[in-house]
Amino acid sequence: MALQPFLALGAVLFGIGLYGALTKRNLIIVLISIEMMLNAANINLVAFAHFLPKPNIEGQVYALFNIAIAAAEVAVGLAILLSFFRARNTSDVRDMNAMKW
Amino acid sequence: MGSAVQWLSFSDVWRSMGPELIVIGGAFLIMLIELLLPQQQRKVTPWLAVIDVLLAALVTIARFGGGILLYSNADYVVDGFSSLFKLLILLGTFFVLLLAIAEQRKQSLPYEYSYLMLFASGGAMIITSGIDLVLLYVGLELLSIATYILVALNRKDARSSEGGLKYLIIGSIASASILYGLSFLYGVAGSTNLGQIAVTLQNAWANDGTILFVSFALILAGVAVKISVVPFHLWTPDVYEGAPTPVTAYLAVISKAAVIAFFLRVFLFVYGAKYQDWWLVIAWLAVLTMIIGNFGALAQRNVKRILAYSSIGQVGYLLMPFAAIGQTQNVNDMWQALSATVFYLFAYAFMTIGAFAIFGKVAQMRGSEQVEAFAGLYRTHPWLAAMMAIFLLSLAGLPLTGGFFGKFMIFLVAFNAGQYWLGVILFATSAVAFYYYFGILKAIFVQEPPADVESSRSGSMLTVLVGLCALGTLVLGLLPDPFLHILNTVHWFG
Repeated sequence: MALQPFLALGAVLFGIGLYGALTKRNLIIVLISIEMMLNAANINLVAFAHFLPKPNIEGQVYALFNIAIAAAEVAVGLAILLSFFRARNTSDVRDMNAMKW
Repeated sequence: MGSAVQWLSFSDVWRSMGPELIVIGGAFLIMLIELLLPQQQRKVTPWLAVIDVLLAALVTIARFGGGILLYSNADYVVDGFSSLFKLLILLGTFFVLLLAIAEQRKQSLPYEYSYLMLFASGGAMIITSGIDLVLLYVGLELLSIATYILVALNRKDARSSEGGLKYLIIGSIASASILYGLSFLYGVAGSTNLGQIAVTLQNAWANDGTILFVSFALILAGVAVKISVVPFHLWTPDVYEGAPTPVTAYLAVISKAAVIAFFLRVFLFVYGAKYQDWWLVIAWLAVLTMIIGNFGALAQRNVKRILAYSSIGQVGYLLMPFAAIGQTQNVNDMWQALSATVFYLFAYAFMTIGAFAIFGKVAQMRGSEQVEAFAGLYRTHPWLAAMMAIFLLSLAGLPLTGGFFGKFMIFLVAFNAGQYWLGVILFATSAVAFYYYFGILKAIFVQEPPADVESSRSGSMLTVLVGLCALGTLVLGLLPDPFLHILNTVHWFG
């Protein structure tokens, strides 16, 4: 295996995640899309760690840190989503309209 | 992380990360105390946080000027740059905590804010000292995740959770973009240490120029979202309006200062070799930010949104020295640009926190966030009115205030680099800023107060806080020499 397929997979994941985060209407799908963007970076890091001219473990360690941080981020996201849902009884992005321009 | 494992003794860790240990360890302790105390006694927790911040500031000052210290195989550095930014962060946190205590008496903000702010400030301090990609990203996320919760903390107000959700989504996309950009840096350089990346990259531009350009664009976009640079600024007014006022002040000052430190550290270390190719991008972002931030404020009637747009405009001023560094490629100009940035950030911290403090009080007294709520403030609360005048004139950049001197330093940096057009835009947009600040001042001094307003006292805590902020603003404007001397003699980078 070469490095390129892994980078391509990462780029596709990042693109899908960004598209989903910017266009989807359901806030849970938006949070999942953000997770995909973070995982694209993790794939990159692990692939680089393996295929570098001098392979080292730093990329894998970095990816482990990122997985923990992503979990914290999505936990906080769901908590705030719950508080928003209690206040407004909706989880649709288009209903985040109490404040405008 | 080098090849050999190096065991760190506790004294080494303490000497390098003392302030961070105090702040984050204190945050855990206060979290526990808050949990164990009965409801009525929990009001001591913000004061514990204040004491914790003061302790950390003392340790930072004791280290100050003690030369450059590198730890853990040069993953963590204590240099002048990080010490100054840490002092700024701790000073800002101190003021914001006092503001939150003053607000607390009337509004039921849950006490969780005391340790959440400490966690966020701990993350911000790690950003200023870390020179390893892992550390920088962990610090950035510690700051971001704690501030997401802080924005959504007021559960009684639906705008607070809406603002929190908007901030979380936009901020997470920005974090993911930064992380994806950083992963390419690791791929090209084969190391996560900024120093080693800088060395490797000097020869890598010829082969890997495209991939480095992609990483540059991704990191720049992420950072631009976090400090609300113009094409990426649309979240700012909504989040600032929805957040509780002390948290808004926190976002405007500490969060921005920390991400600017991240920006300076990463970009000067990693992309410095190609600076002459991309400084123009920064210059145009600065111009757009100054223009749209200041003109956007003109259309607003809500004072919190006016201050939000004004803080966008201020970021434009703060970006100008970056552009100047790129044009001249001269080391002395770089030190001058860093001095101007740090000086302006300190002045910005004093005047912004002061303005938000008075805004919070007035919004609560008059029950409205509109400009009209300030009508006749001079008659009912002369002290608050006079202090608000100082903060607004400083934000607008009137002489004798810290805001003016900071802008003047930024202008000099641009002037020395030959970027006269940037200097012209700085003054033109400042003139626009005068217009909307004077709208508020007119309401304060010219208009009559509403007949039914009760003359409630402003509270001793708030009086002291705005007095301290005004003192800082005026000292930086009238007697800047001692602070300038520190900035001129400091060893910026390790």
